[in-house]
Amino acid sequence: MNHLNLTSQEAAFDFLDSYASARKEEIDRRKLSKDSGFIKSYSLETSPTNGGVAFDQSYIERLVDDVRWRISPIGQQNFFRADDSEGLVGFIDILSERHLAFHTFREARRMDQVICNLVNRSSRLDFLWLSGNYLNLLWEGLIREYMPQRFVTFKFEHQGRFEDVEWDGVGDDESEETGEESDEDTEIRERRASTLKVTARVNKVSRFLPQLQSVLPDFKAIKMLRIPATEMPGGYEFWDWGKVTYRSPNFRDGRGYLREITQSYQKVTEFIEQQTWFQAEKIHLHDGTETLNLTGTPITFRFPEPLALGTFQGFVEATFERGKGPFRLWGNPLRLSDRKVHVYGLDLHLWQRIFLELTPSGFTAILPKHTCGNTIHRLVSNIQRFISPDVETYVGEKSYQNIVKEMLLYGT
Amino acid sequence: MTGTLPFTQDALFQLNLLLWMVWPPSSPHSSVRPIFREDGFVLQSIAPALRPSIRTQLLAHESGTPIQEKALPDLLLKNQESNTMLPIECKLTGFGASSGSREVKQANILLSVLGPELAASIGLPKPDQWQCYLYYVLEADNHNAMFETLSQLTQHLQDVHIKTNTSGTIGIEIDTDGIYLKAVPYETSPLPSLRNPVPTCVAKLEEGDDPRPLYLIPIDPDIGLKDELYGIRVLEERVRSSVISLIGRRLDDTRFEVHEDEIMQTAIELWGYWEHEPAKSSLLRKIARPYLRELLDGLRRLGADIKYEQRIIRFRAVTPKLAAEIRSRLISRDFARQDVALWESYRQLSFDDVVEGWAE
Repeated sequence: MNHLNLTSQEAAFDFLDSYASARKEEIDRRKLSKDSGFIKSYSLETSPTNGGVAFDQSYIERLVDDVRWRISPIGQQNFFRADDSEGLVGFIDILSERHLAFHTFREARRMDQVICNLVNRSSRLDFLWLSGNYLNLLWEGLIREYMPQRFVTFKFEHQGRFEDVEWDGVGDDESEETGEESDEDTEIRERRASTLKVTARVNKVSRFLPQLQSVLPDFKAIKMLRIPATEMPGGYEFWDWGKVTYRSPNFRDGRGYLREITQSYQKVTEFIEQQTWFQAEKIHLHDGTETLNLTGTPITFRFPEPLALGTFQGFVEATFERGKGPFRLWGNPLRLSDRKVHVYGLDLHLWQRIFLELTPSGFTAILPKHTCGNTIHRLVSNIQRFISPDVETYVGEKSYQNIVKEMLLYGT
Repeated sequence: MTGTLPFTQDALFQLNLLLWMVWPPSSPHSSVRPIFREDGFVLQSIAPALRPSIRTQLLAHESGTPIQEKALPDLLLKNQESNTMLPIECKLTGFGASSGSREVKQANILLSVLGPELAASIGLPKPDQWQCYLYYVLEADNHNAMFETLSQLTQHLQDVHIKTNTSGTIGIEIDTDGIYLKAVPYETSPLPSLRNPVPTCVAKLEEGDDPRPLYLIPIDPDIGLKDELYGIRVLEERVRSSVISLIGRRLDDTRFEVHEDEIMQTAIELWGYWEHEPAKSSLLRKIARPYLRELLDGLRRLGADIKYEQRIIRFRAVTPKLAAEIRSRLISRDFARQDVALWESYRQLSFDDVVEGWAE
């Protein structure tokens, strides 16, 4: 495999299709060897301030400098091979001017860690954050509607992490994405929250899921959704941090879903940036004078059930005073009262600024110009998972859910 | 540094509250009710320069009416449907009509720059159809007296044949359950939301809630920052986060530059439009530079090769290992708690150092 001579993107896709098919046969024979991992794609976002920079070999090399991969182009400019001392690691696939996917077949636990470290140490990379809202729309509009007889898999996870003020920082977000290649259909784990994985026929899930979510909103925090493969058994597991695990004999089909989802995601991100970027703008007047205006709009997150004061203070304490926790935000909290905190701080994923008003009833965010709209996807995703599973998010006067829906449906 | 910041109503709070009432298309959950937007008004500009007509200047000169070259109201709103513009000036307290103070000169201009003149200078279509309604915004206790002042100034201007705008006041009252606005006179207010004898709630508060929204503008040199502790803390944190952002996200390059102006422009969105170079230099010299030097000394101790000259900070020979160490230092709690010390520095600046309007 290390000496594969792949001269085009098409040849690489043929190879990945063959690989996916071979894994499926091994599973059918119940002989999946320990070293034969499923194909995984990690979808990554780059900063909007990199706009205009071409994804050429040297730029890709700089992006992955931390892991010391050798990068070589395959065929056209938009596809690259990555090698390390052990040989072929995978392929870097440019999906759009600000998104790339890394396809690999190496062991999940190890690659998850490599990618997480790469993103966490870079100021140019972030994950594709598919919040519960986002995955739920894919479920409602795509799977429930068109695939009633297929099997679907959900993994739900909500952790009331900040209810424990003495939270120790252990068990951070992405690093938990290991071990999902277990063949167990259902896994119930108790910690400080419930995690539930369900595999069942679509028409059955569509009957019980709304009831489940109305009784316990925690089940709106979708950590993973498996989209059934087209005309084939198995499917593609879309994780909330942009990872896709191919549990189907077809790579191209899963990559097609990833590409489409990434494209609509990019449109949502760009819409958020167009609407929200806060800046002073000079306006030239007809009489030759100039005047100033402010552009942008805030993003509001409202919790249907206000947070307990201890939970609220636990969040502020862990996130800003101790610099711990999954949100990766930084700043000095300005405490206006016990129930109101302002932070003129940073989002540490891309080292860009964000202003936040935090209260037990909800958060308000302002994104100064150039701050990546991806920050909002990540906030929604992490708020659903760790603070309020049924958070209502508004970008200006439009609900986040509606924006995602419109972009998925109409692309505008 | 992490203690609570007690609230007192000041002009910077008033300005930011007004901006929230006009700035964003609002969500149903916005903490501030955007009544200006609800009433059809949008932000035309911040601190526009209003110049009296030649005729007004001549009449003022003839009659000895105190006037100045231009006035910069804090905000100018416009309503395209009713062809109405609202110049708005925030004041903590009012002033009397008898003095020839700066405030009286400013008010005389704001009262006498009429809708058609202003619309024509902006370039609005059919300028003759526009009208201006001047509002002074004050703490609720002071706004009735201020309305009296405006009435007296208006009468005087009319007596000397200078045409005037209609004017009124808006009082801001902070109660335990909300922020309330009341207009005088309320019956003829161009803002339907305030055509009410009882105050209108623009933000609900629970007992003990703080009324301050996120500040869109941390400093208004036309107002000054004399006792506005929260505004200074916001400015400190904005300078700090700007420095970290600009350095932190460039550390993937082996060499890069950060310009002083870039830091200030990032921290204060209006920095590039602020024309008064001496005041900008004062802020840079007395506030930003000492902080930057201290910060850079700390990074040099990590082994960073940094030159800081001619207003440019140059990083060279940045390795991935050094970049990781610098990033770790930038977001350390020690660094977060390091005083930017604007408060003390600002006390040392005279008010004249910083009183200046934005660019015209």
